[in-house]
Amino acid sequence: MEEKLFVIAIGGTGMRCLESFVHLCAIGMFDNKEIEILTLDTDQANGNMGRTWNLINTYNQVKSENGRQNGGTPNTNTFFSSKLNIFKFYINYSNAQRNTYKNISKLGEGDERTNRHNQMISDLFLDKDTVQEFNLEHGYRAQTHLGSHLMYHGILEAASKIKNGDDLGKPEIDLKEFLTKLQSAGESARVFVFGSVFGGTGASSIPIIPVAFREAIGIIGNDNEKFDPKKIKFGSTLLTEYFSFNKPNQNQLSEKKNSIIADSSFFPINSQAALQFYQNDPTVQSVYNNMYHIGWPVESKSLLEEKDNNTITGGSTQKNNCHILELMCAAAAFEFFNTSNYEKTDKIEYLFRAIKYENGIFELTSPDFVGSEKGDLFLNKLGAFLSFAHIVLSKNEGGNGSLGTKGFITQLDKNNIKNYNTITDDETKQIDEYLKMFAYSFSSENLFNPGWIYQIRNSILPGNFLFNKDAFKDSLKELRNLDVGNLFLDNKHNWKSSIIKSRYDTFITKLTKEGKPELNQNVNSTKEKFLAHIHNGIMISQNFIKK
Amino acid sequence: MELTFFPAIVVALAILLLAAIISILIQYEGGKNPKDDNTRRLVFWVFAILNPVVYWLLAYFYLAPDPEESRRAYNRFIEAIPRDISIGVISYIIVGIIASKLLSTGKLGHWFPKKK
Repeated sequence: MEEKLFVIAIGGTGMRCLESFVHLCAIGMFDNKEIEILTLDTDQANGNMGRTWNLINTYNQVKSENGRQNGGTPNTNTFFSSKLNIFKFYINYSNAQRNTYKNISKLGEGDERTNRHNQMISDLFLDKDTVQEFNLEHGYRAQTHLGSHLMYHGILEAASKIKNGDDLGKPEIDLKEFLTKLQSAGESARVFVFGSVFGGTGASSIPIIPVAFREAIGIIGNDNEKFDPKKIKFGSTLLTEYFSFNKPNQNQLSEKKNSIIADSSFFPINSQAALQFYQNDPTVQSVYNNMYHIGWPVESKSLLEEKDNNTITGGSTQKNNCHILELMCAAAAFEFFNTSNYEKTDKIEYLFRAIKYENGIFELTSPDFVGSEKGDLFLNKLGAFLSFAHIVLSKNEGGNGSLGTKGFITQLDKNNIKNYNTITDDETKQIDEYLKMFAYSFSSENLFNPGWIYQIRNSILPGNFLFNKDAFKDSLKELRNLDVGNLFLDNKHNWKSSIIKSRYDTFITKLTKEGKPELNQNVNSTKEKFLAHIHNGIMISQNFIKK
Repeated sequence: MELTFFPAIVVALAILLLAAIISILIQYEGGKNPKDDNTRRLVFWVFAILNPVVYWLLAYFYLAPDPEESRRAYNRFIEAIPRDISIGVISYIIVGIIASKLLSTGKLGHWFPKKK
């Protein structure tokens, strides 16, 4: 039975984990897979979510044939080898009638007796002046007890709207499609959930998602007996605190809508409480197969670039840099999706991996992410994509808005490889855009903007991240002169050079002579063939496996 | 016809080899305005011009028979130089084109690129 893969990313941290996951798809770690992705949030303007949507959109543009938006097809042993289908569901709290718990629950409405009882029940669980009245537009602000209740309610409310067919928005349509796919996959579904356990939206949602989906499928009218979370393989991250931000100041807290602001100094306690919950909760125990416990063993760094002393509670300004732990979460999803012969049992399995940390420095190797068996595969593919990024952004200066991929295609044309001349300028720009998000870009004022892999590497400095320090140059001049074939710590994987040939020359020779796409790579469009050709040329040059 | 053009062909091939080595040594460039292919083409034609000059100098000062031994042989050799040079130049260009077409995906392919 072919397994169907589903990913659910929840909240700001979940979005950044998804960002890492998408980059793993781009480097080719999920070969020949079609993956259904649901993003779930309350903060529809969240900067991290917008960035992730943009990333997936660009990924799909790169995979689509020109003029079509179909996201291409799954391929084998190449870049962008998995097909990603994105579904976006968010609960809308922007409306004034729905922006606080008090308004949603209609406290203060109805007859006096009912109202009194409702208020008493609410007061029992939720602080009246703060938790019941803060603005939900920026998420649940580390109030997980409130968040779980409202997320569950939000999903079921959407399901009711879907059933009644009244005035469906894009979020409800997307949720319906995702749930339909999940239900049709039945027991062949593998579902991985990204989110943190210490914050708001993710922490609130992870425990309730499987059950909420079962109920929602029941409400929509599909046969929910076919969807039993206990029979489906669910995995999730147990991601504890790893970043901090400014403490909220009194001015901010004095506003009613901001009466609750997440305080990162409580994140360790939140994490501890969450872990106790996950260890004891019978629902979580019965629906989740694997939980990957991922944590940060040293003091958390502040990841936010706050311009003033206010805490950023969410919205478009919340665009936190990526962190190595988010890549760990994506690697956990890789492990979950690639482990064969799972037996669904009643007992949850908690998984973790230890990393070498000495003299205040992390020493990361590729097996730390994906295990010793797949370590070389990961390093090979990530290194190849990083080299590809540097060929386009550094060698062909796409990072500062110059020709980029177009320049490389012109070079191939000069070398009498004319198969890719039909790739349009728009298509080459889409590849450039993706690579900029992956590696780096320069602003119009020539300011350096680190992309995903630079941010990941920066999060463990002064430790090592798989490649030598030259791979992460950040000045225009140095990048122009970068030796794109000399990125690995182990010299045997750097491209060969000789007295008469530079590493790049050797690569071009290998590319033109040996790298042509093969039938079993299942590439169809010209763009897919181009990407497969470069992939092959780099792979041969890196000398991991004999072809 | 005496076979005095053999040295011209040998010289042409030696110079072509030198042009090939230099062309291969020129590294691939990237960026907005790569000039490496033009430089290789320039190398080919500069050596194409050098070829007759080198052969002419060699012929006059090294290959030509001693006029004191045989004035007639000397005159015949000198008279044949323009023809030998022409054969050398044609050989240089023809072999250059063949090499460029055979190795069209490499650096020598830049000598005579295929039209789009």
